Amino acid sequence: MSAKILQLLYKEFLLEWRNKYAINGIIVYILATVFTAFLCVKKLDDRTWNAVFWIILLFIIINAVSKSFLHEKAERHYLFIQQSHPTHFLISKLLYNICLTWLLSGITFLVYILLMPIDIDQYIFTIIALILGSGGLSSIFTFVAAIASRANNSHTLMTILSLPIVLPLVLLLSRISLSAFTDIQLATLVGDIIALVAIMILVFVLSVILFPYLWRD
Amino acid sequence: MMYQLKSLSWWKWVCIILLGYTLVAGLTLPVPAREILNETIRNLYFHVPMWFAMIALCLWSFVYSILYLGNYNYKYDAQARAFAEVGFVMGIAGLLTGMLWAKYTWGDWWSQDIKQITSAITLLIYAALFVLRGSIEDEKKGATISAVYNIFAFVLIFPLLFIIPRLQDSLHPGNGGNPALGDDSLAPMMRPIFYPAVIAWILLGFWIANIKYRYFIYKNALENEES
Repeated sequence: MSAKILQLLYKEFLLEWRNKYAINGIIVYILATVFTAFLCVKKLDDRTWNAVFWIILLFIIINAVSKSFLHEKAERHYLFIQQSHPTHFLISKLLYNICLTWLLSGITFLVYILLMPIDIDQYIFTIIALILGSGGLSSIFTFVAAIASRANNSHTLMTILSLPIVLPLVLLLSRISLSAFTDIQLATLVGDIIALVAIMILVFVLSVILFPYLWRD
Repeated sequence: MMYQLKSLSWWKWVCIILLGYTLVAGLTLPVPAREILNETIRNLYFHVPMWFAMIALCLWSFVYSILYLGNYNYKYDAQARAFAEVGFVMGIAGLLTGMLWAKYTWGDWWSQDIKQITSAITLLIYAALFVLRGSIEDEKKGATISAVYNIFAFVLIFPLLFIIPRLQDSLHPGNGGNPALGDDSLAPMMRPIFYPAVIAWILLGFWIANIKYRYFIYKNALENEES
């Protein structure tokens, strides 16, 4: 089982490496959005800095993940479904998207803090929010992208279907990353972090259970 | 007309009687005197049962979505669809009565209370479900995909409605140290009206959803006849 998943994962990385324009496009997208935000506001207080950062990251992750199913051609998809088990297929997509969003959120954070420097007291909260946050967001987006790719009008649907679902996650994340500006103890946020991890596990289990039904015609 | 009244099933009579009782008793019988709340406490018989009704209807819809994925029977899909739609309407009613209550107790229609935000998000998710359903023309494919989304969204709503509000301060009872239902805060004199009200609103929701369900079944039969 894991060999199959690794094989599919390798295929994802290979395709990304061969079509470098896609990842380059997203990096340019990051630079452009952060630079636009910089030009519009220049100096921000903690709360707004945090809000703008999460909005930018949310849309970067939507853009990066939605292509994982939307850009696949129908014929090629049927080939994958026949050649491999749908669960392996989904898990490889999930793992790949999580790796991709970790990379992208790291880049976004570096560019953002470079252009808009701010004093962060406790980097640990920022790092927790980035790692758990981009993992959770990309796993939800992956499954919704699979749903949207089965319906017609894909790009609009992707946003409509996914944004309300990720809002609770964003709520928790911005709370955690906002704590980085205070001298709060890590122990006080354990509840939020557990809730975040629970939502992620829930999404993962649900996606694995429900995905085969999406592909049965 | 008489025949139609006689043919109503027993639970519909229960619904009519309890709903009438809720309206009359809820608006006329004495209520405990509480500061700030005053007479607005009567909204407890309407606002809270509406949310209970929404959760009951959406739970029913969720169960039928699972059943639909089990054997692809279109009747299960019609159930899931009808109950989700009526649950959505009950949710809007709950939100509006809540806003009215908030205006006279917390001072504003919308106070950024965490429960207000999470319930608005819940309604958005159901609205997205209906958009998804409408965007797919093929009946069977649409039914399957919306059943998948319904299950996905419903399971994610539970942490939303029950876990997240408890982590944060809220103006609602039961959060951030405020008392909840079930202990002393629900005064004994309100219980004989509150519990029947919950049953009445849930039954009303099931009644409307049942009519909607039969409409979907007839529509489906008609379309099959034409084609």
